Amino acid sequence: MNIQAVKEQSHPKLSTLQFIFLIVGAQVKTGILTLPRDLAEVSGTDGWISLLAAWLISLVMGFFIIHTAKKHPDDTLFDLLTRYFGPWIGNLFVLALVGFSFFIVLVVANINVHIFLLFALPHASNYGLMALLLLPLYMVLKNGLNVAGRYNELLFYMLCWMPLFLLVPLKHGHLLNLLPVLKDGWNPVWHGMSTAMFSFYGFELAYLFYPFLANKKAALKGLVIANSITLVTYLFFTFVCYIYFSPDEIKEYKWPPLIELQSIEFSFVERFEVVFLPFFLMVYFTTLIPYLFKSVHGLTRIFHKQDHKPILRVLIVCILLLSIFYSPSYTDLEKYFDWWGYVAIIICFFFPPLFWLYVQTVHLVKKWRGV
Amino acid sequence: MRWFSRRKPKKQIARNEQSYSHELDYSQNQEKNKRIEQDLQMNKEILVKLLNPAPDLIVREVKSQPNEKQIMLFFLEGLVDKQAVNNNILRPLSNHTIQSSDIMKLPVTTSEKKIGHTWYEIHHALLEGNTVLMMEGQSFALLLNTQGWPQRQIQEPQTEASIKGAHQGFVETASQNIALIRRYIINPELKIQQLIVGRRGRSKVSLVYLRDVVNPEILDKLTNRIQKINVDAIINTGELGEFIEDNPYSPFPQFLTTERPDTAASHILQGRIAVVVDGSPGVLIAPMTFLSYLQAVDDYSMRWMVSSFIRLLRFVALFVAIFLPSLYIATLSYHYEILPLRLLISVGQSRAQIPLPPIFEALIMEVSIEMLREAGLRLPAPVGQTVGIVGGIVIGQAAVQAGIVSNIMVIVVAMTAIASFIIPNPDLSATIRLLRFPIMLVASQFGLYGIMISFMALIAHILALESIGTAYSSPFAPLWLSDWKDSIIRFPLRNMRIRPNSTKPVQQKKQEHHGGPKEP
Repeated sequence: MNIQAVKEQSHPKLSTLQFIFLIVGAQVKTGILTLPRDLAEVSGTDGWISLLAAWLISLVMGFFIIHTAKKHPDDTLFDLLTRYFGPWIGNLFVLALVGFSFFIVLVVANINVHIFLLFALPHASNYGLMALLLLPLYMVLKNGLNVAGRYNELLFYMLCWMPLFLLVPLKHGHLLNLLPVLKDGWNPVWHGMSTAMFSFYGFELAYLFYPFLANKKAALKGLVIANSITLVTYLFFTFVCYIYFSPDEIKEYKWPPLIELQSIEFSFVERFEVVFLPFFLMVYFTTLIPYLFKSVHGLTRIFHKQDHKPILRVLIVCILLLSIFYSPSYTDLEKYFDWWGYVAIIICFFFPPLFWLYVQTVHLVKKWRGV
Repeated sequence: MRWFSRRKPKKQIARNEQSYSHELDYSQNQEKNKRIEQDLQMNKEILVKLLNPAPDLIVREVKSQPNEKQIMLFFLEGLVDKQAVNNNILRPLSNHTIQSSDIMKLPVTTSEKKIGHTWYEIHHALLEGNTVLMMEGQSFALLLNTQGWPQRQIQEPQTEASIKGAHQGFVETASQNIALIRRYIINPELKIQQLIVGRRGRSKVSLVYLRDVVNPEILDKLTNRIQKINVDAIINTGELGEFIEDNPYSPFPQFLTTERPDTAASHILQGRIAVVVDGSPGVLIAPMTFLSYLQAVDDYSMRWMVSSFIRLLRFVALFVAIFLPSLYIATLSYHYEILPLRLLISVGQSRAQIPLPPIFEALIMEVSIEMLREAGLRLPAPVGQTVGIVGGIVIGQAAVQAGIVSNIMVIVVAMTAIASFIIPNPDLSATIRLLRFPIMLVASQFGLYGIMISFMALIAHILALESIGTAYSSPFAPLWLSDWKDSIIRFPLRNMRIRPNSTKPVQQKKQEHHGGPKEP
C-alpha cells in the first residue's frame, strides 16, 4: 500500500475536466484584455477570422502533440526529451523549456501587478502586491498537480459568468461595425495571424499533462474542447469590443474591455471596472499555475528530486526578489511579450510536427532494423 | 514505559519510586500476570494496599449461609449502583440455602458475570465500577457489573437546537449514546467497533458505521489513526479530533462534532463514521466536507424550497461574515470612487468626525463585539443578557455619539455578527470570525486586491484540505454534479437517490426511484 501511495503521489491522476481547464487556463491569459485592440490594429474588423484560423492550426498542433505523447504514455515531455536526445542534449532542452516557462511566469506576474498599480492601487509597492500574489500560488502548487487541476477547474466555473457583464453596455454598440466582412481581402487576416496565434499558446502544455491524465483516450478530445473554449472566449471578447467601439476608436485604448466596463453604472456602484478587475486576478492565476508547475516539474526532473517543494520555494523567492530590485515598465513588458511570442512560435509551431516526425522516424528505423 | 526505560534507565527508577507506592508494577509483564491468593484476608490486605489511599473503597464481608464460607465484596462507592449491589448480590446471597462451595454457583443476579484471575484485571474492574466478589479458598474472583455513576438526564443540546427535529441529545455515557443511535438505525449492518485510547484515561472510543455502506479504506485509516494515539487520556471528543485530523495547521474544522443523535444517524446513513467517546456528549463524524457545515438537520424536515432558500442565505452569510468588514475598509481607504456620489456624501458625513482610519475603527468594533460575545458566553443567563444590553447601548449609541466610530461601521459590525451566527456549526462560525481579522489587515494595505487574494488563498487552502483522505471541497472541486442535489440547494428528497460521492460509499443507492404521489 505504501508503494502505491508513493506512486500515486509522483503520478497524480488528472480528470479530463481538470486537463481541459489547466490548458484553457494557460491559454486564456493577459492577452484577453489587449487582444481586441492588437487585432484591430493589424487586421481591422476581420481579426476574428484570424482567430478562427489560429484555432485550426492549434488543433493540428495538438494532434501532433498527442500522437507523440501516445508513444510513451507515462513519460512527460522532459522524459521524452532525454529519451530521444540523450541525457545531455535532452537536459539542455529541458532547461531551455523550464527557463522559458519561468520567463512566462515572471512576465504574467509582472503584468498583473502593473495593471493593478495602474488601475486600482497607485500608491502600493509592487513587491508587496507580488508577495501577496505569490501566496495563493504557493499554497496551490505545494500540494501538487491534483490540487492545481482542481483549482483551475473551480476558478473557471467562478469566472465563466463574468464576461456576461460585457454585454450590458452593448446597447450602445453597432453591429454594423463588423461589416463588411473581408473588406480588404485576405491580407489583413494573414497579418493578424501571429497576434491571434499568441492567444492559443498554452496547448503545448498537453505534452506535460498527458502522462498524468487518468483517461488517456480522452486526451485529444480534451485538447479540442480546451482549444474551442479558448476560441469562444477570445471571440466573445473580440466581437463585443468590435461592436461597442468603432474600428478607429478601438485603437486608442490599451485595454478596450476595461474601458467598455467603465460605462457600466449601477445606482450603488460606479467605476465598475475597479470591482471587476480583482476578479480578473483569477485569469492570471489560471495562467500562472500551469506554467509555474511546468518550471518546478522540470527542475525536479533535472535535479532528480522526489520532493518538489524546496524547488517551488526557491522559485517563489526568486520571483519576489526580482520584483524588489526590478519593476518593469509597460514598454518593457510589451517587449517581453514580443520575445514570448517569438520563442513560442518555435515551441508551438515547429517543435510538435518536427518532434513527431523524428519520433516516427526513430520508431520506423527501429522496426526496420528489428525485422 | 518500556521504550522510555531503554533510553533513560536512570530516570525510570526514580519515577517508579515516586508514582508507585505499592509493590505491584504493571509495566512489568510478570507483575501484570500476578494471580490472586486463596487466603481471603491476605487478598483484602493486598487490595487495600493496592488502592491505598482510597477512602471510597468499600469492603463488605458476607457469610454464605449454609456452609459458613467467607465471602468478600469490594467496590468503589459512587461508581456502583447501590441498588444493584443490594438487590442483585447481597439479597440473593443472604437468602439462599443451597449448599455449595463453588463460586460460580453463587446466586448473584447481575446481568454480566466475568472471572478475574490477576490483580491487574481486578484492579481495572474496580476502577470501571464493577463489584469484585471473592470467596475463601478460591483462586479467582467474580467481576460483577454494577456500574452506576452520576448521570445527566437526556436534554436537547443547547448549541444545536432544532425546530422540527427530535429534542434528544447525547449524554456523557458512551453506551447510552450508542443506544440512541441504534434507535434510529435498526439494522443488523450497523456495526460498532470499540477501541481503548489513552494509557491512563483508557477511554472507550467506539466507531459506529454501516458495514455495507462505509468505505473500508476510510474505516481502516480512521481506525489506524485512533490506534496510533499515544497519550495519557482523551477527555473530550475535540481532543480526539485534533489527534487524528489530516491537517493540524488549518483553521477549518475537519470533523463534525454533534450532540444530536438524529444528525449522527443521518450521517451514518450517508456512509460516514460516527466516533463515540465515553465521557463526552459530542460525537465526532468523519469524513466531512466543507459544505456539510452549512447544513442543519432541520433542512430535511422543512419544505425543500424553504430550506434551499435558507441554505442560500447561509452561503451569503458566510461571505458577509468573512468579507464585509474588509470590503468596508478597502472601499473607504482605496476605492471610494466606486461609491456613487450620494452614498459617498452620506458616508463622508458620518465619517467626518471620526479621527481614526477605517482599519482602526473596524478593529475596535470587531474586537469589542468579540469580547461581548465571549463575555456573555460563560455568564449565567440573566447577567449575560445585561452584558448584551450594555454592550449594545455602548456600541450602538455612545460610541457613535462620542465620534469614535461611524454609523456605517456599526451597521457593518452588526451585520457581520449576525451573519456569523447564522452559520449552523459553531466550529465553522468560530473559524470565520477568526479569519476576518487577517483579511481586514490585508484589505487595509492592498484594498480590493488584497481581499481577492485572501479569497483565492482561502479557496486554495480548502481545495488542498482532506478529511480522512477524502476531498474536503467536494462536490465543487472534484466536480460531482450528483452531489449538488444536496449542496447549496436541497432538492426534493425523492430525487436524492444516491448517497454522496464524497464519502466514497460501497453501496451508492439509498432509495428506489420514487414516482411521486400519482396513483396508477
